[in-house]
Amino acid sequence: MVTWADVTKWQSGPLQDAVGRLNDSYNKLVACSDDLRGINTAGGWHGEAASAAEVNRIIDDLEEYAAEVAAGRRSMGDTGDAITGVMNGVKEAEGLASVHHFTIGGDGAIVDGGPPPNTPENQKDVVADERKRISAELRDRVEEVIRQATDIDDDFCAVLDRILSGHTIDATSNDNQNTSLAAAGNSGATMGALSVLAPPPVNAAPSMNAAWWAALSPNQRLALIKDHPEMVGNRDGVKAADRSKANMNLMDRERQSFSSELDRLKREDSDSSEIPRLEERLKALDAIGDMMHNPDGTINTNRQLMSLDLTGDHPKAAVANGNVDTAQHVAVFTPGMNSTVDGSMDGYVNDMDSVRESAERMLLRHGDPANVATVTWLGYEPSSFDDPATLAGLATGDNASFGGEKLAHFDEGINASRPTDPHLTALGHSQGSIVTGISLSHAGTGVDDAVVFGSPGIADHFGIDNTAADLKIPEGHAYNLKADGDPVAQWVPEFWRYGAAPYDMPGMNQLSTHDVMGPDGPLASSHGHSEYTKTMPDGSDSTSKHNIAAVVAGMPQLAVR
Amino acid sequence: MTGRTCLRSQNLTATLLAASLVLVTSCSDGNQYLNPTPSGSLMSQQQQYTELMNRPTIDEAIKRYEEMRATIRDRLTQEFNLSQWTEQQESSRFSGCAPQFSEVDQKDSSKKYLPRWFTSSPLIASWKQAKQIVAEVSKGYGFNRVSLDVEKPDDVEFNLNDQYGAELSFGSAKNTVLTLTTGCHLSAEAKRRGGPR
Repeated sequence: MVTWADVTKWQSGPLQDAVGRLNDSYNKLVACSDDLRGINTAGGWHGEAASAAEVNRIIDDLEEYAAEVAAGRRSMGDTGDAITGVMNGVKEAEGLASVHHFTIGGDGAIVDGGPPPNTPENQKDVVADERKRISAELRDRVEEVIRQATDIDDDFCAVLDRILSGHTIDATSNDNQNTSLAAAGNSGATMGALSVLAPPPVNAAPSMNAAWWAALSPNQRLALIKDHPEMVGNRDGVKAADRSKANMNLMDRERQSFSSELDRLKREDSDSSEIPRLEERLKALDAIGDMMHNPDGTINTNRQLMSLDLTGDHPKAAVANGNVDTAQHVAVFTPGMNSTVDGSMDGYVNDMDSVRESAERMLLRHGDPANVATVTWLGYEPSSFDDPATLAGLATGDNASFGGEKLAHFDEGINASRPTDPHLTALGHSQGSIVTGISLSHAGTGVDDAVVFGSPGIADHFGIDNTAADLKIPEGHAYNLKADGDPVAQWVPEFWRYGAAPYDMPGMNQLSTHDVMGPDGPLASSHGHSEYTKTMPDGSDSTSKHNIAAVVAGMPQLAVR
Repeated sequence: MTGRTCLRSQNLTATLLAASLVLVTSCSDGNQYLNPTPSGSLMSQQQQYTELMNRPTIDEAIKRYEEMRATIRDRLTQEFNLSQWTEQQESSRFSGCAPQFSEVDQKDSSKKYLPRWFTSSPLIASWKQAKQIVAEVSKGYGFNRVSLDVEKPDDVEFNLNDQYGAELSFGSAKNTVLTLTTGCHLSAEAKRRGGPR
C-alpha cells in the first residue's frame, strides 16, 4: 500500500541513472551473440562437456539474462519517467494546498488551516464554499497521485518478480542454432514496459481529471495525445494546450474516417440519411481547420481547440483565443440559438478575439500587461430553425439544462487545470445566457463575473422568484445588457419561462448598450438581438462590446452604465 | 391539489407562449437572429471578393500602417520626451474576416492585430496636444473617422478608423498605448487570382 508520505519521497533520479549502467551491461552482453552461434556449431565446441544439452542450457541462460537486463533497463526507464509525473502531481497538490492555507497529512488527509482572518463578513459564505471546493480538489489530487504511484509500483514489481524468478521470457522455445541475444533482449524490453494509468471515468470531476493529468509524466502525456486523443481532448481539467493538441490529432483522424465513409455511402447507398450528417461533420471540421490556421496554412498559435465533439445531432466545439493555461483573465462565451460550428462559430471566435484585444488594451493602459483569453464554447446544441426538432428545446429547456451542466464542468476544468485560478468571466448571449445562468447555479465553477446579453432569462424554471444572488458568483458581479429593439431580451422574459427578467432583476448590474457621447464616447449603440459583440463594418466598437471587454478585464469601473 | 394543477397549466401555457414568442421575435428580428451574422455577409461571395479587390493586399496595408505608427511614435517621443516604446510580446496575430466577409475563403483573406506598442510615460496631462498629433499624422493615412474619444481624469482613449475598417487606438492612463487592427484584406495571391478559388 503506497501512502502519501511515501510518494512525497519518491525520486526519479536513481532509476534513471541505473538505466545508463544497465545499458552498458546490455551492450556488452549482446555482443556475445556471434560467439554463442560459434560454440553451438560442430566445430566450435570440444571436450567432454560438449554435449548439446549443456550448450543449449548455457545459451538459454544467457538469453534469459539478456531479456532480464533489457526488461530491467526498460522498466527502470519507464518507472523513472513515470515517477516524474508523480513528483509533479505531488508538487502541484502541495502548491495548491499551500496557496490556500491547507496541509496534506502523511496519510493523505486534507487539513484546512481556515480562511484568511480578514475575510469580510459578507464574503464568508462564498469563501467557505470556495474552500470546500479546494478541499475536494486536493482530495482528488491526492487520490490520483496515489493511484498513479500504486499503478507504477504494481507494474514495476511485476517486472522485477519475473526477473527474480528467471522467467522474463521462455528462452527454451527458440532455435539456439541461430540465437540472437538482441532478439531476446527485445522480447525482454517488451515485457519491461509499463502501462499508462487509465483515465478517470468519462463523467469524473474536472479536479480528478486535472489530478490524473498532472500525475502523468510528460512522455506519458505525449503518448496519450498522439495515440488516444479521444481520451484527452474533451476532458475538462486537462490543460488547454494539451487538449488542443489532442483535438487537432483527433480532427485529422475524424476527417479521414468521415471522408472514407461518405465516399463509400455515395457509391453504395446514395439515398442514405447518413450522408447529410457526414457532410455536416466534414464542413464543421473544415470550419474549425480554418479557425485554427493562419492564412498561410501554419497553425495559429493564438488559438486553442479546447473541445471537439462530433457525436450527437450536431457538431460541438470550443475554440479559444489566447492561452487559457496562462492568461490572467479568461472569458467563456456561450452563443445562442441558430449557432453552429460550421456556420457562425468563426464569426463569434473573431468577435471574441476583438473583445480580448479591447480588454488587453485597457489593462495595459492601466499598467497591467496581463494576458486575456476568450473561449467561444459551443458545447451544447442550440435550438435552430435548420433543425425543427431542436425547437422543442425552447419550451422544454432540455438542451439548455444539459448545456448548463456541461458548461459548469468546462469552467471548473479551467481552474482545475491551472496552478493559479484566472479571473474567469462567463458570457452568454440569448439561449446561451440561459445555459450560462444554469451553469452558474452549480457550485464551484470558479466564475468570478457573469455578463448576459440579449437574455430571455437565466434560470431553468418557471417563475419570477430568482435573483442575481442565485448565481453562485461573488455578490455584485452579475451584469446584463439589453439593446433597444431586442424583442428576445424585452418580451420573452415577460412569460417567466426562464425565470425573472434579467433587465429588471434584483442584484443584476445593468450596463448600457446606447450610443455614448461626452467623456465616455463616442461609442456606437447596439440595436436588435445580434449586435452586442459586433465590431461595426467601419471598425468601430459598440458600447456593449466595450462594456463586455471592461468586465472581462476585471475593470468594470470602465464600463458605461 | 387544485393549486398544483393550476400552476402546472400556467407553466405549460407560459412555456408555450414563451417558446412561441421566441420564434415570432426571432423571425421579426429578421435575418440577424436567424443567422446571427452582421449585415456585411448579406453580400454575395462575388460581391465580397469585389469589395476586397478594391483594397490593398494585407501586406501592403500593414506596411503603410507600420509606417504611420512609426511616424506617430517618433512625433510623440520628440514632442513629449517619452521614455522608450516597447512592443508587448505576443500581441500580434492574424484573425479571420467573418462575420463581415464570411463568404471569402479564410486562406485568401485576413485581418491582423499589429504589435501593441506602449511606453511607461503617461500623456494625460498633455492629452489634447498628443491627440492632435495622432489625428494629424493618421489623417494623412486615411484615418478620418473618430470612433472613440474618452476623456476621464484617469483614463483617456482616442480611436480612429479608415475606409477599410482598420482601427488605430491611442490611449493613456499609467501607460500610453498605441495599437492598430487592420480591416479585412486579401492575400497577394488571392488578389492576383481576382476571385474565389
